[in-house]
Amino acid sequence: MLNSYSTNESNLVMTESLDFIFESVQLAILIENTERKIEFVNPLFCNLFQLKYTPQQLINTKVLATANLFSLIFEKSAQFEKTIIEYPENAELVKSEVWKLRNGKTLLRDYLPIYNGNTLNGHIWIYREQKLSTSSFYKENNSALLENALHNIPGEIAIFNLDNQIVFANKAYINSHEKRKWAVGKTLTQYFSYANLSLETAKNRVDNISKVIEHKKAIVWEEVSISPLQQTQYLLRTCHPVFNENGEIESVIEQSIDISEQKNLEFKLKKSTDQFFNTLNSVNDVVIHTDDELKLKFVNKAWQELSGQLAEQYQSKPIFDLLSIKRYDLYAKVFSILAGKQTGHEGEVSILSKEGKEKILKYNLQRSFDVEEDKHGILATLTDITNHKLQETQLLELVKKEKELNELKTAFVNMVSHELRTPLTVISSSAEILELMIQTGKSYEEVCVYTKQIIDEVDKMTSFMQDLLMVSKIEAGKIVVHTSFVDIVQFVQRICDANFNPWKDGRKIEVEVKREPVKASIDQKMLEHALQNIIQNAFKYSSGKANPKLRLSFSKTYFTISVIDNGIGIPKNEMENLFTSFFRATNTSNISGTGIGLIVTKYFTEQHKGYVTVKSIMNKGSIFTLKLPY
Amino acid sequence: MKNYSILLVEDELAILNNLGTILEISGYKCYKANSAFEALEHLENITPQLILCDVMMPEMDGFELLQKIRQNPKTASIPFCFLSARADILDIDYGLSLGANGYITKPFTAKDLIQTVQKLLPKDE
Repeated sequence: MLNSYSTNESNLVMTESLDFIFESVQLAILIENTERKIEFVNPLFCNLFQLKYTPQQLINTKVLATANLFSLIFEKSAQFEKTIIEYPENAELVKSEVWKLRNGKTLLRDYLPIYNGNTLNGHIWIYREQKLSTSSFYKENNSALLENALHNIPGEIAIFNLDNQIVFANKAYINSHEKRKWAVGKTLTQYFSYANLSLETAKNRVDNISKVIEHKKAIVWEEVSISPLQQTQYLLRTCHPVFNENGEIESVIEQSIDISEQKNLEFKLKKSTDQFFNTLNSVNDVVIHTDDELKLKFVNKAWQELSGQLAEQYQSKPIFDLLSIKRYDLYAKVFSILAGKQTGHEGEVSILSKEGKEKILKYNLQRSFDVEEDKHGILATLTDITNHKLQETQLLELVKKEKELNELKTAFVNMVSHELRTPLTVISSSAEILELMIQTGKSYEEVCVYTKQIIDEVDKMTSFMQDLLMVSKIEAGKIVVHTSFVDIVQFVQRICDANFNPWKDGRKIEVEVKREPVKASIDQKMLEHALQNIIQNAFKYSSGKANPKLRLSFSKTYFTISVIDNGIGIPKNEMENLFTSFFRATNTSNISGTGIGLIVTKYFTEQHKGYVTVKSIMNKGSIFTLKLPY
Repeated sequence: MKNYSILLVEDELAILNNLGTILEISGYKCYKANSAFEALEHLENITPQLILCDVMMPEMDGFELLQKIRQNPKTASIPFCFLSARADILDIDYGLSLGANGYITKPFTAKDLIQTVQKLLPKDE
């Protein structure tokens, strides 16, 4: 068959080359004839199956007997033996069958019937395994069988002489019988031109063949071509020199394997990896992956956005460098997660952003697993929750304010209720007593005690209502000042004597004057009101203590009225709320009051372009001072 | 009617006097205290059959006074009734939880007052 389209000269080279091919292609090959005896077996086969026989010893032995020698190395040895028995009966091609070995390796088996024309010549069993080693050259062969085997090998194989002419090409290399026949003795360029194929490809192959001849070394390269079905095809091509016994180069074998599938998988993998990293880089959360020593393997772009620091500079550095945190509790957690003692951990850390602002990050730590390296690492995600936190704080403040307002409202309602209930109690009980007195014919003087009480309490209620109205007027800014020129000492003394001397517990307030008194222009009603409030407070909040004092002091441009008591004082942290409507200090709950007085005092003082100052020590007393310009 | 005595504790003088007047007209003997401290002083010398007490008073309030009275074996069993402008149900509950026997809210009528007093005083034999 070979002779039919090859010259005698090239046939010589070829016969030797076929043997070489069976060795250089890393396949374990067994060829059986129709009598089911071994026609050919290569040393690789003997090596692969650890046979104690040389290939020569196996020639002409029964295939089944040989199969029995090594069937036990297969996991499914019985099934293996069955195929050896049954396959030749069907004489059909079986490709890339997977066979697992008991040692964990996997073999691929091709089974090909060999025909000469229409006559079945035998079968070839090909086992593929990566780590097969080549061994000595084996010359005994049946050239027809070998040639057929070459034609049936899934991959292009061609042999060139040193003039770059084709000596042999298998079916995969040149498909049609006619073209194959034509090509022998021609160069690749001639053939490609004849077959109307890419001359560029031909040139590239010829160049490589020339290089192999020149350098006597194999070359491996990838070739991309478009298949007849318009699909991109990737071929891994190898070009070997073939040497004779004297070590001289005789010919060159060029072979190829179609690696399109692997390539496509590689592309798909790369695409999906790229996509994965693109996705990771486009998320707002920082994603960090470390190895088993907690050194950074990957940080996404979000980190750069957040910190302004390049992610690359942290490559292979400990994760703690990146976060620049010194939190030993967190170190312990990370190690515990890495060791699998804990499933995960969440918490918050703060870092400085690229703008130098504090950023609060929520972190989530999980254990990761690197399949390739069979090691665990840490996968951390960091979410910027600064704004979230800020909003949370603002919301909490609002809620707090709302709560405070509500409390103030409740306190106000309670205050009003109490302030009204007390005088109402006096009025109602006085009225009932009056009724009884009139029934029993008591004297006018006795009756008057109770009518006066009623009138007094009504006055108190009226004054309270006026205070309330005053506050609403003040808050609406509807008060007008009417000033007159007044002797301040007389004015103050009159207020004290009329309202407070004596106070209901019998105490009095003394008026003390410092420096030369001066007349001043004031709104008497307003200032009286303002003063009454602070004097009343001085008595109210110093029950059981010494008399309060009023000190008048006249300077060049202003005068001051200070009311000094020895009472309960004001808690330091509540001083700032003192002039807020309806506010009452926490130590006053047992002393009735409206929370109105001081705001009225402050407002009226300010209407005189003056101001109120307060000094107070808890449980020692308070000093309220009105400072007023003339 | 047995000659019952009642201790009145109230910082608002007008109310204290009116209470006394109403109860005296009804035939009760009244001791008046203008503060919780005064009340404790009275209790050293007398053992009234009932104490009527305001809640909101400076320095020591009615709640605290009740606790002191209940702690002292000599006064622990005296019936005690609050008389307060604090009419919130929470205040009433709190007062009763401290061991008060009654809670009258201000303003009150003489009739209500007398009825409560009669109810709280030991019955005539």
